[in-house]
Amino acid sequence: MDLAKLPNNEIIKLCARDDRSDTICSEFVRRFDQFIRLAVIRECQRKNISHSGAAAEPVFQDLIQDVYYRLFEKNCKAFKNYKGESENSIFLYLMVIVRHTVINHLVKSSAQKRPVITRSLDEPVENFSSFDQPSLLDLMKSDQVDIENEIIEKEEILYYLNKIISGKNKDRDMLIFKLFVDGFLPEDIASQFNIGLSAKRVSNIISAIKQELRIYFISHNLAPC
Amino acid sequence: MKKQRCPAPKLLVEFFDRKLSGKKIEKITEHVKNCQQCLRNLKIMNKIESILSMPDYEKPQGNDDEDARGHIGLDLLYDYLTGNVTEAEKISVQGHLNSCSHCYQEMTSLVHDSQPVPNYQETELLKAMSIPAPEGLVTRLLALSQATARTRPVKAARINSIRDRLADLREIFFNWAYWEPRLYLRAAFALTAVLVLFIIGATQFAYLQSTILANRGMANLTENYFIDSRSVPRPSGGFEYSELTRTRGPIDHPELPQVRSTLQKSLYRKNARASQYLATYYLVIEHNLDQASQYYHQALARDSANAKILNDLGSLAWHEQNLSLALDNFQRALAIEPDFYEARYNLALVLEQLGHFQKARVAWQNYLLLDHDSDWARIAQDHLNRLKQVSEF
Repeated sequence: MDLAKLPNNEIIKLCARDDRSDTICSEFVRRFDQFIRLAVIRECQRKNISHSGAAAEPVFQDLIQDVYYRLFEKNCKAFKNYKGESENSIFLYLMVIVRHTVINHLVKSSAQKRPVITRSLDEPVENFSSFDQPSLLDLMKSDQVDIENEIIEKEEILYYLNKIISGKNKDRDMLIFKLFVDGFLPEDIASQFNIGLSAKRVSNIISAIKQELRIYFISHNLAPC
Repeated sequence: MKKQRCPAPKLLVEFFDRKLSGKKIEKITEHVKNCQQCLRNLKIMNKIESILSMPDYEKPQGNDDEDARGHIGLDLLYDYLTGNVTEAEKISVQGHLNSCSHCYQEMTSLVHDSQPVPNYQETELLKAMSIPAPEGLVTRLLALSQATARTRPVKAARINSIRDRLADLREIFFNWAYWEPRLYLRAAFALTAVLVLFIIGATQFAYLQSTILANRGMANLTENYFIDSRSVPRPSGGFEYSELTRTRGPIDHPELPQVRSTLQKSLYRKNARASQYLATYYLVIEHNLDQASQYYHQALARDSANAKILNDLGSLAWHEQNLSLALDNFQRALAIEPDFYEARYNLALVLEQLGHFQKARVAWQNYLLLDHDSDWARIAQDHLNRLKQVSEF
C-alpha cells in the first residue's frame, strides 16, 4: 500500500487505529509537519509573539513539540476525535490544536489594529474608470458638494445592517455580509463558513444587502458621525 | 424652469449601479447636476462602496485581555465550521458571531490561517526557521501514545460507563437544547404520551360508564319490582316487600324491559357489579336460572370476596332448591360482612326451612338487632314468633 497516495482523511483514520505503525505516523509527520510549523508561525504572529531571532527558536520548538504531543497523547485521542469530511478539514483541525497549544503556553498580549485605509474614500471608485458615462464621473468629481467631513465608518455601516436585514435568516445574512466586508469572496464564504448556500446565492444576498444599505442611507439622510 | 422632483432612492441606486438605460439616465444626470441633495447622496453611495471594497483582508490581532467568558470556544467554532452542529446550534452560533466581534475575528482568522499554502513572507520565515525535525520523533510519539493511554480496571470502567450513560440520559432528558431540534423525537414522545393517557383514560372512562349504567339499571329495578313472598330469600340491592305485586306480575311492568336493556349495556369486562345486577334481573324478573347463574359466576370471577355476590349466589341456589349450598353461600357472605342485612335474613330463613329451628331463632333475633322497624323486620318477627310457638309445642 502506497501511503503517499492515500487521501488525508484516510491517513488520519489509520493513525487513529490502535494498531497504527511507525510507517503511518511517519507519513503523517511528512505530510503535515510543514503546516504545523506554519500554523505555529501564524498563531504567534496573531498573538504578537516575536518570530525572528535566536531567542524565538526554542519557543517555536517547544510549541511544535507540544502540538505533536497533543496529537499523539492518550493513544492518539486527538485523531480519534477528528470529524472532518473534506480533504482540507484536517488543516482546520490542526489549526485549532495549535491555537489551544499556544493559548496554554504563551503570555497573552493584545493589540487590535484597524485596517489601514490607503486611499481616499472620496475619490470615485475604480469601477467608474470603466464607465462609458463620463458625466457620472464628472458628477462624482464635482466640488458642488463636499462630503470630506462626513465620516462613514465601517462599523456604522455594520450597525445599520441590523436595521436593514430582517427575516428568519437575519443572522446568516448578516454574517455573510460581514465576511464579505472583511474581504472573503462569495466562494470562500459559501465553502468555508458552513453557510449552507451556493456561491451564487451568497453573491446575490450580498448584492441585495448592498442595495438596501444604500437606499437606507439615502432615504434616512443619515448624518455623519 | 420647473424644478424636477428628486428620483426615488431606489432609482438613484439603480442609476449608481448603471442599471438604468436611455432617457432615464439623461434625465437623472441632468437633475443631479442641479440638485445638491442628490449629488450628496451619490457621493455617499460612492463612499460606502469604497468602504465595502477595502483591500486585502487584514489579519486582526488577537485580543488576549478580553474576557473569555461568554465566547464561543474553539472546539464549538470548529464544529460549526465543519458542519457538526445541529440546526439550532448553528443559528445560535451565527447569532453570536454577529454580536461578538471577538468570536467573529476568531472564526475568520481560523479559516484564514487554515490555508495550507504559505504566502511569500511565510515561506521565507519557514526557511529561516532552522529547526530540524528531531530524530526518532515518530518513535517517541508512539511511545508517548501508549504510555498515556488511559487504563482502568474492567469493573470500574464498566461501572463508570454505566454512570456516564445514566448521566448522559439524564442530561438529554432534561436538556431542552437536545429536544428542540429533534422535532421528530419530540413528536414521537408527545404522541406516545398522548396514546398512553388515552388508553388509560379510555379504560377508566369505560369502567365509569359501566358503573353508572349498572347503578341506574338496578335503581330502576328496585323501584319497579317488589318481593311479594315471606318465604324467599332476598337478593342484594335493597329490594322492598309488597304484597300488591301479587295482583300484577313483574313482567307486565312497562319499565322493566328498559331495565334489562340498561343492564345489558352496562356490561363491561372488568365490572363485577354490572354482571351481578343483570344476573339479579334474570333471577327475580325472568326466573331464568341459567342466565342468572352465568352472570353471577362471571361476577364472582371478577370479585371473589364480594359479600353481595355470595348472597345472590345463595339466593340462586335456593331457587335451584339446593338449600345446603344456599346456606353455605349466606354464611360465607356473613363471614365477609357480618352486618349484611339481606344475608342475615336469608340465613335465618334457610336455617328455618332446613329444620334447624334453634339456630334459626338465634339468626332471626340477630337480624332484628340490626333491623327492627322495616317491613322485613315485621316479617322476621313473624318468623320468630312462629318458631317460638313451635318450640313450645
